[in-house]
Parts: sequence; C-alpha cells; structure tokens
Amino acid sequence: MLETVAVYWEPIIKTYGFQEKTDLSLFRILITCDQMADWGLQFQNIGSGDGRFLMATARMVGAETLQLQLLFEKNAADRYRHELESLTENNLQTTLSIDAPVELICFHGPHFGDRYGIADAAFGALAPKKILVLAAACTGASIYIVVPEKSARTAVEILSKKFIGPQPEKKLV
Amino acid sequence: MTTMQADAGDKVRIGGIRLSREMVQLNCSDPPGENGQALRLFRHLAENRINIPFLGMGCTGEGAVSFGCLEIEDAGFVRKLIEGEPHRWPHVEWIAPVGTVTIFPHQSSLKLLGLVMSALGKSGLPIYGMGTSLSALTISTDYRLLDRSADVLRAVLDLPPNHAPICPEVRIRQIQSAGSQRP
Repeated sequence: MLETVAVYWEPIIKTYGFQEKTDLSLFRILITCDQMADWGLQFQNIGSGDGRFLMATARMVGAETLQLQLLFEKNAADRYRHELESLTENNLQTTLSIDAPVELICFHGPHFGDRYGIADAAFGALAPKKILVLAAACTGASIYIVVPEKSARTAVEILSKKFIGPQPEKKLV
Repeated sequence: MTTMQADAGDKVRIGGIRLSREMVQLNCSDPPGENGQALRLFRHLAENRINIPFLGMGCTGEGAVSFGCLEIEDAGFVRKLIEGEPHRWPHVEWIAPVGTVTIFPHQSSLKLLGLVMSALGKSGLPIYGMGTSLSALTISTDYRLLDRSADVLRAVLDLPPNHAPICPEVRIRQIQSAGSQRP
C-alpha cells in the first residue's frame, strides 16, 4: 500500500460549483432484511424497467430494517408513486412515506473523499442557520444534500461562505 | 449459449467495481429536527484530522439518523473518544469490520439498484449503508464478506472483459486542515 500525503492550502475550500434542483420528491421506504431481495426485484421493473433516481441513500434503523431514501424528479415521482404504493399495500408489507416538494444541493470538489473537515464545513455551516437536512450522501468527491422546499438557495448562500466555486477568468483589457 | 445470452441481456453494463480497505462504521441517532450528536462528531473528527470517506444522513419519524465510515487506522481514536465520554454519545452505534463496495457508473438506474439489492439480499449479505455520488453507488457491508459481495455482484452485472474488482493500492491522506492558509 502506497500512501500519498496531500496538503491543501485553501483559505476557502474549493469546489467545482454548486447545483440546485427544485420540485423533487423524497421517497422513504422501510425494508426488512428478509424483504430486500423482493424489493430489489420490484425496483428492476419500475418505470417499465427504465426507472431513474437522482440520489439514493440508505442505512440500518434497528437490527433488521433498512431505511432506503430515493430522490426523484417530480414527473418520475408521479409515475413511480402508484407502483410503489401498490407494492407496499399489497405484496410487500412495509412503510412508504414521501416528502414533496423538496430541493437538492449538490457539489463536488477535489479529493473531497480523501480529505478531513469537509462534512464539518458543510453540515456545521447549515445547522446554525436552521437549514434542516432531510437526507444527504457523501461519497467519492460528491456531496448531495436534500433540504425542504425554498431552502436550497439560502443553503447555497450559506455554503458559499465555506466553499468557493470556480471564479470567472479576469479578462485582460 | 442461448441461456447465457438471455442472462447477459438481463444484466446492466457497468464500468467497474471498487472495494475499500477495512473500515468501521458509526451510526448516530438524534431527536427529530436535530443532528447535534452527528455534528459534534464531525467537528471532533475534523479537529483530529480524521476523514469520513463515506457518509449518509436521513430522517425517520423518530429523528435524524446518520452514518459515517472511517478508516481502520482511525478507529482507536474514535472508540476512545466515544467510550471515554459515553454520556456525550448516548446514541452512537459501532459496526466493525465494514468495507465498501462501489459500483460505477450507476447511471441513475433503478434497475441497477434493484439488481444489486436483489443479489445481495438473496445471498444474505448485509447492507449497513448506501449512498450515491454523481456516478457511483457505494454500499457498506461486512468487511469479511467483501470479496463474496463482489463475486455476487459480478454474477448479475455486465463488467468489461477481464475486469477484476479494484482494491486501492494508493491511499491519499491529508495532513493539513481544509480552510487553512499557506504559511
């Protein structure tokens, strides 16, 4: 195993820029471990086998239950909602809840996945300003944060004090 | 031959699978609308130069839930922190050993997600955490079952010829604080 030591001299942490998406739906599904294979089979058929998500995150809640969160564009959510609701009501006994509308902020930065302090900078900035984080996924160089309706713009303004996006090149006159 | 072609048709083509080194996972639960314990943990880790390579957060009716995976070398410090002041970390669970399997690109495909969940579920392989980036789907599972997880996923995903799951040969470690200035 080789180890490469990196030093980032940054007054403000650099990113490749922020993206915002609005009018989204966050689906939460509680899946027991013995149902995971069945749910997996059902997901393969959603949207006639061409279902698309914007973000997926999950974690264990309790010893035997996985809470899966899937973020969809509104049009996709409207189409998939009935399919998922019928599954939860009929075949697969579980809980489906939907938060809508919600908004997404995502940003990426150099070696974010290898650097300490990135999560603290992001989530530590949002909390004091009462921006509720409904869901988040940080893996690789990406940070995805789902926030309530009409919060993404404010969240980006807050994050812009901790993270800096690409600056327009100065034109030589 | 016909069967193999039919099977391949059900598979989703991907670029590769990457496996992590050994890690530990911390799960935090906070009251509804709060992330206080998780935020305190992020601050402590940052102050002690500890990276969180894989992190997820969510809400349930009962509150906020977060998880973070740390490199095994950092486990001793964090265990000492939590066990030294248990009253400050009343709802932190510890899972070890864990490892991550990363599938790329995910193509935002529910079919791929379903294939992965179905394959792991049928084989009784646990999912402790999951998260997506722009292109990758990362899952944390039992480190001792990481190779088996990769084998199970290779059976249902269409990988490039001669592809073997990639294990990292280089580790990047940051030694200077983010947000710092050149001296």
